[in-house]
Amino acid sequence: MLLRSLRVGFFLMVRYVRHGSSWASLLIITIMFLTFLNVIVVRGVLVGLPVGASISYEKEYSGNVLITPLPDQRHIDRTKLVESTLASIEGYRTHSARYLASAVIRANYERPQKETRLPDQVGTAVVGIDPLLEEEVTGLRELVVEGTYLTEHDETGVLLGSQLLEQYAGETPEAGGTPDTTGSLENVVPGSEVRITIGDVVGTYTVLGIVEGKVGENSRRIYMNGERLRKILGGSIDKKDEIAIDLLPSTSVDGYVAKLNASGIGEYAIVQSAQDSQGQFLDDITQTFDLLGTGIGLIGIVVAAITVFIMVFIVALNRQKQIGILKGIGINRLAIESSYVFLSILYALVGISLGLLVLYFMITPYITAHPIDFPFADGVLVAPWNDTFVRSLILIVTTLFAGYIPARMIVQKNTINAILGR
Amino acid sequence: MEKKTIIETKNLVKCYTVGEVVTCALDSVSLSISEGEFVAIDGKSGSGKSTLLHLLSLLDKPTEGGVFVYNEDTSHFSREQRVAIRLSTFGYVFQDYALIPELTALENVILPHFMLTGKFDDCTKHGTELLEQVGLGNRLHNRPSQLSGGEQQRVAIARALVNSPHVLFADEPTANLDSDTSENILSIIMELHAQGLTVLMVTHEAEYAQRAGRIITLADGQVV
Repeated sequence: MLLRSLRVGFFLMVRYVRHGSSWASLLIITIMFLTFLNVIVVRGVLVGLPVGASISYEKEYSGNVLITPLPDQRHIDRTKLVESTLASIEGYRTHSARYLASAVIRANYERPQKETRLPDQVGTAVVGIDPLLEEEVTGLRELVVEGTYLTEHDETGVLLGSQLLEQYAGETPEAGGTPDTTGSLENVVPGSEVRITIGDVVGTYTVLGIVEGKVGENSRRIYMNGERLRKILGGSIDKKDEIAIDLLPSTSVDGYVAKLNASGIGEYAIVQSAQDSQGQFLDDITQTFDLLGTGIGLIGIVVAAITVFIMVFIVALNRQKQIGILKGIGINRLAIESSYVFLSILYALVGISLGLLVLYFMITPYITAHPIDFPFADGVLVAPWNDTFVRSLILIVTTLFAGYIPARMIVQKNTINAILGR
Repeated sequence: MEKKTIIETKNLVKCYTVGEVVTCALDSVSLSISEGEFVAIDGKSGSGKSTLLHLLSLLDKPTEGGVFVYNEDTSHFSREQRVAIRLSTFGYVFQDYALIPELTALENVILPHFMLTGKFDDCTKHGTELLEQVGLGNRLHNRPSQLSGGEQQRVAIARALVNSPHVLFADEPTANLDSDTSENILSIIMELHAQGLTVLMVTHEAEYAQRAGRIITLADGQVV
């Protein structure tokens, strides 16, 4: 009897769709479509912000794996051993080892100094790199927005992070304040001469290019040849400060980190995946945005449920007499109610299907090709299939109840009163 | 040989309450309908004819008294049991045809049979035969809005017969039709009775009532 009732319900649903109001159907389908996009895309973009920041960090700064000094050490001990070990583990593609030091960069130093004006200088970090390896790991060359990239032969050329420059950062050292990393330099462009103080060594350098990326570290650093910086610091080539490792595609990052730690490298340095090296903060942000997106989506689902409820209620109310007739000729409650439930499910399925098509064939490819340009990240759309499936299911179940409840309310009415419209 | 009683009522009362006013449409009606009878229920407007038919066909519940179908008291029947009897044992022709506008003539006819059997192909064949019998073989796929009043009523009769009911209830089946069409509908009903079907027909026209084997006349909710 159950199956028969459902078949009759389905039979009635098909006829209602075929001969019912196409405008009402179109309206409900549009609402379901927009609700689906609200549930999936809004959440996807919100979560995509921290995820995009994380991707940028990995792509432009840390590589897949980042090696840093132990907490009580200033440098990575036995860097050569570390480098040879990491290159020997399966999945390794290339790496960039960096020297790091504090520096003060001064521009416009030939300008006459007035008492009321602070020197045009900024405190920051200087990074010594191998330009070719750095390009391979982080694509630093692509982040040069003005001028040219560093070459391995440049002894006096440097790259400057855009946030060190007034035209990008939009700020200068405050009068009466001390120069610090919140300030920026005036009128510095590729070709300008700047004076950089590293420890006790003061040198004059030519700005080759300006680096601008999504990662704060990149945009606030000075880049120069690693060997040059090592000589200035007077350090050993066996004591570098940061190693970014790029792995072959499809290599398990966690597996690689585990193998590296198992090889004993953990005694000399901290080995972390890009994800772990970003700390708990980014995970917390992602979870917060996920919660926010889910909350917004939930509101969308409730609004859609109320809309479907009202629409089905109106449709059922208009068909009150027919429902009475159906009961009068022996069609049972389940068959009549299921016809409206099927109708609601159909609306939900069509709306969701349209949403899926638009999501996976229009929005996702578009955002992948043209990431949303946020200052701190290339915003991506996070809409994994399994998550989309679960959220779609929630939407369908909600719609099912939103269709069932009003239908049941009308079907419960006394048969003869329904037929006679009393 | 004595014919079997299909429907029996005992002291049937039906009252409606609107606010504090109680109006009784039927007052202590007792009657019985036997197998193969053609019974006309007549009376003036407001005499309780339709109310009686609604109670006999289990479309409504009495305030007091009982309706017995094949000697079984239906007062304790659940809503679903009453629906099941209407589906398998009764056929009902409404005064205003009461067809479902979204369905074609054939779909209207087969719907109760589809509910009963669940076999769509058999239903289609059976429904087509019935519509051909009432002269609508060429109107199978027309929707009610594309049919005349007489055609719609013939579809309604075919729908009432689709599950081979034991009793056919007809509530003023000619009320909205012209005289020629009314005559046509009445002749169909009489032919069904001639084939052995039990018929209960409400009418306020004495001429049509006279054609029944028995007339139950109601006045002010009571059998006179």
